[in-house]
Amino acid sequence: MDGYFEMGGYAFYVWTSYGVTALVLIALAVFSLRANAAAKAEVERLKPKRQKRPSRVTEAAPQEAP
Amino acid sequence: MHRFANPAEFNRLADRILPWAKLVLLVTLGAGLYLALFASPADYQQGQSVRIMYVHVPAAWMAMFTYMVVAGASFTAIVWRHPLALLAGKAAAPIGAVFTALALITGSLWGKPMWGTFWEWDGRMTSVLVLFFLYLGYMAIWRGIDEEDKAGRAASILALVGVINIPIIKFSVDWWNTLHQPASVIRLDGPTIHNDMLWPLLILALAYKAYFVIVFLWRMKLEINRRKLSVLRMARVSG
Repeated sequence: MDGYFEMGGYAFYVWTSYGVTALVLIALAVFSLRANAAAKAEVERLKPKRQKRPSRVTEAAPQEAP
Repeated sequence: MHRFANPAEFNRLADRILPWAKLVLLVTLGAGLYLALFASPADYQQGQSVRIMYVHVPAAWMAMFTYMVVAGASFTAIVWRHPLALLAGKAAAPIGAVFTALALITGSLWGKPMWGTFWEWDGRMTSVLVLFFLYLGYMAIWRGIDEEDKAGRAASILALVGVINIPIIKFSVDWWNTLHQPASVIRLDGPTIHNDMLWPLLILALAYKAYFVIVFLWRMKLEINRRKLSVLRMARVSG
């Protein structure tokens, strides 16, 4: 393990490559997930509310006849 | 196929795929990183810097793969007017742009110690930079035109024209024999890279693909919700 992190003198290039890759991919995933959560919440907020008829029913796909 | 044109149906399908994609990502990422960083040997010419390959090459493969997803979705959207196809292209493009940026960044971090330069206008690097601008152009058209169907059609046409760049990227290392090394994995006569390096590369490539599937499905849900939002807002204005 001694000297492992020095990567034979290429530490900066190797670890920056892995670090930037991890950072950017995690950022994109988090951003996508958060943006979807926000959009979903906004859809729920604007959706017309109907009494005694859960709005889910109107959203669901038409059931196929058995 | 048209069954999945229904957003509710699509969401159900996505929720079935997501847990499996996450499992594949977890396993391949763990195994791939272990092999890439610990178990694989240093290169006899490049030393430890060869480990950059394991994040660079999958990013470059995914940059091209994702472009073909965007182009395929664009084609489907234009020819069959499949309602979710436009959104699929829109959902995939930012992921492709990110993979392309990573291929360029890790490539220049590998080029500096090996070639002595971060950047050279060599055929491979230039054509991948063009790919990056194609993604940016596609995304800019979506943002720039207000009417969504019109924006989608214009962006799709750009995506289809840009497909010409994909074979240029692939064969650039043969046509312009400058700095970038030629293919050593996807060759007619089989890989010329040693198995101890091929395995971590292929396993990490699978991890990148699983990552793509997960984030693509999340972004599809996002685009479907955004589309619902604009319909709801429209209804509010007119109602």
